[in-house]
Amino acid sequence: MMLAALVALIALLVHLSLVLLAAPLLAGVVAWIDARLAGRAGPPLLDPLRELIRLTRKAPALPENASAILAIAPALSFAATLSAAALVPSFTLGMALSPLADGLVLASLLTIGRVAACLGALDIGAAASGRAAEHSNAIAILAEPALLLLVFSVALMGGSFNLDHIVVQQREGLLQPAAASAVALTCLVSLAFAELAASAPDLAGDLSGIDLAVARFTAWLRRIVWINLVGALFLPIGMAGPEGDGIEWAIGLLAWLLKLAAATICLSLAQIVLGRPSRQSLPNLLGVAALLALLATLIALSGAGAA
Amino acid sequence: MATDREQQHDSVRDASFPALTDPILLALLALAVGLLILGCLGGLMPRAVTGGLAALLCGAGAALCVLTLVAQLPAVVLQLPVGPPSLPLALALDAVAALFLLVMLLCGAALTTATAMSDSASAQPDAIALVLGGLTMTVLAGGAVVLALGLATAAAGLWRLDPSTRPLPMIGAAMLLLAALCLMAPAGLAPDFLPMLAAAPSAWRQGVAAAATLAAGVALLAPYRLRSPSVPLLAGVVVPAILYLLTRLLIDLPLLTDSTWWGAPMLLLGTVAAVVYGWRAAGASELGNAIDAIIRQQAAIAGMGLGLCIINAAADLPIAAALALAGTALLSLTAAAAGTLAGLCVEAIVRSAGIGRLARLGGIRETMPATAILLALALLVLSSLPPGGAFAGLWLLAQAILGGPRSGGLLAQAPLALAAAGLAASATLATVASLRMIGIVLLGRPRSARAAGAQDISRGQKALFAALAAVAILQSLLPGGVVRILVQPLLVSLTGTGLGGRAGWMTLSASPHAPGYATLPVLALLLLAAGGVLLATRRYRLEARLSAVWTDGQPPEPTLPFGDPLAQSAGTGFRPALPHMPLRMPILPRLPFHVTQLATAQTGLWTMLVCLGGLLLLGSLFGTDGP
Repeated sequence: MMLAALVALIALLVHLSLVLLAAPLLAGVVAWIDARLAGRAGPPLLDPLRELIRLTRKAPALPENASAILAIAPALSFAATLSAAALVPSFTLGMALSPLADGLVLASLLTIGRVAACLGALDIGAAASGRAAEHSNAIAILAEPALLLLVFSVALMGGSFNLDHIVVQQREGLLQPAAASAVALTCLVSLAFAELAASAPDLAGDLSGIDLAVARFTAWLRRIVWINLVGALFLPIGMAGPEGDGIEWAIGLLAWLLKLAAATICLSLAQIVLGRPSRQSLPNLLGVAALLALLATLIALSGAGAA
Repeated sequence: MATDREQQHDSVRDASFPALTDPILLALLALAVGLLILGCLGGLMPRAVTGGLAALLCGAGAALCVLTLVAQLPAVVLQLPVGPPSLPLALALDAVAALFLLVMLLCGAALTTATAMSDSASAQPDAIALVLGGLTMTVLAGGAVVLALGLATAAAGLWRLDPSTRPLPMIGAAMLLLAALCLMAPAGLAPDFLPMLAAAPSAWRQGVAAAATLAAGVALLAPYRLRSPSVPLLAGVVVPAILYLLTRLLIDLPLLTDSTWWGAPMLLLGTVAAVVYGWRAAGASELGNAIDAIIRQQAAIAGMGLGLCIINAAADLPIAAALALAGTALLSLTAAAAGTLAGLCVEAIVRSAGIGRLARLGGIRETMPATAILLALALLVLSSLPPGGAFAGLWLLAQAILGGPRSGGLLAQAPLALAAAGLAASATLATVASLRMIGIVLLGRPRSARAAGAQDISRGQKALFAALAAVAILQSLLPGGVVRILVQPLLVSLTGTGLGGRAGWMTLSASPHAPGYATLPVLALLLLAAGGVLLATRRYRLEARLSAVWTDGQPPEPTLPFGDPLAQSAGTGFRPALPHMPLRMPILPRLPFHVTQLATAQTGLWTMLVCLGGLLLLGSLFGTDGP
């Protein structure tokens, strides 16, 4: 029992270390691939890390009417996103926090991250950041219900809101009906594309120095969370089980790296082929995602009756 | 469920001289009479005295209700020999009444205390006492007569609070409820609850009674019908009373069988209301209207829980029914405490700043720091985010949908799917509405001289509001404990089974040995991560350079000392624009509203999805069960 708990804790620490390391590296890789696909040489892969260090060495500028919220908001946003990242399995199941890995909690943690960033943007009352907060919420009214409904549909298929339980069901081919699963996957990919490819409102416009560095890191970490979510729910190939040994972990790590690479390339290609969703077309894309999620829920409900 | 009704009836009939419940019921009756006396004569006394006495009575009543719930005392009925022999006044006290009465009296105590402390000339603790007395009688009613009398008294109190309130909706609702109870009463007997429980009425009588009850609920909660004169009164007293009436008349009194149909309409009405009120809250221009809409939204979500409970109970799924009812109870408790606090804070801000428009407020965190913190806490509890109490209620409702019936094809499952969609949408809208109010009103810069000159609340009010916040936070952090202690008797009474091991002190789960929602660990995870980041950044943080207020390069306008109103968000863009109709077809008749040109790929995708949905619907109508 103690040994199992220790292994679960080690798995969580390894997972968090990988996620924190991969976030800035993946940002560099994405920028490089985008540049190469556009016919340019591309920036160095470690450019994001250099940017973080550069921002850390800058003295922040603070308006005189700023409150403690401006200082705390980036940290809270990062904390919420990191908590969400800790709940989504990457290379193994059965991590120490798997009992807390509820789908609704995960979606709400991502929302807390966005809410904290919006509060920071509204703190000093500047025009640009206020507009960005408004736009972020207007988009969220469409995107977050779609994500919550997607979690519903997947939970209906898996029989529980717990992510580990759903992934186990998926690995054993029990996430039925298949049509609902396919529609849910399309919905999740649409949401991930809208989140990652669209130009996000700049909620960090009032930040500078180390706070801006934390905000940038948070955005990169969100990308990892979305990719891990797609991989865990619909492509748990190679993922180690709850009682996996070292070899299974190694295979799981390799599979996770391959999934990261594939997701990055697919995202970049999708941006080239479909273009970045513009501000006007983003509501349509999110509306379609919400409808797909509703459809998946309906199919899952009616399919369970037929089973 | 029939066996449970017999057991419930037996437990009431045999408890002729229980150890404690009779004196408690008599004490609560005396308390209600005391409130009514204060309501009638309180205008002759100083406001502080009236409010203080009313608060004492409410506090004592709340303590008695806690005793009833914690000690799990049996239900009791009392018949007062008042009135004609065939229509005695019947009173009853059971777990259902005790829980909702606890909420009402606790919030009533806070409200009357706040009114007693208030300097405002418009504060009327006697009218509030009259409303409280009337609704206490309504909840303690053991039959139709006392229930109708209580509602009429409460309507009189609301009219006194605001003479522009139209009493017709409330009187109409009382008549509808009276009619529903008379329909359910056995022939030749008084319309009391005990005979209704003993002899289940016929299916058509129950159906018509349910329809009348649903209509009464709509009449009471729809804003164009009953404009709330006081938002804290609505949140803490009126909404719990309405939820009690719906619970009693739709779940407790009828016999829920396979032919019970009113679960789906209740669910769909609640879903539509939750989304509509959430949309209004996210776009209201007045602070009072925004809080009013959020509170009605929470009530609508609780109504969804009642609908889910009825559907699951009718399908003989007692655990799923208990989960839905637990979610409703948690939402009622949370919305009452946090809604009352939010309403009181908003009233204090509007009174101090002199304006209620969001576009003219701002910077309240500087001028009214204590009020700002308390309002922010209340809004975060109502915002459907963990570790807030509203999230725990939503989580339980989601589990109830997950554990709901799966038979009947696509048409039977459609209400559950729409409920899931409605739950998701209303959670997001509540979050956006709360964030909007915090960001526009409390943060930023003052947008007017009045907002800049607002004064914070007094020390007594700070202590009262902080106590209410402590109740709301405790409910949020320990939802499992609240369910175990306070809600479990209600669940056993109505569904025949409690949640058992599913409600731990800190956790809620759908099955005893499965992981679920643990509030404190999630909060600890957030705080640990945030604390770690703050410590790490503190090590490398350089001293900040202070600069002037940012006006995006524009020089300060001498004629606008509070800045250009257009340079600061007024909260008008938090909702997306609703889409236009995409189709224009020559063969359609001329439509009265504007339509745009047929779009290309997006509309094609929409059309394909709508066609697929239509095909699924046709398939269900013709007997297939879907893919």
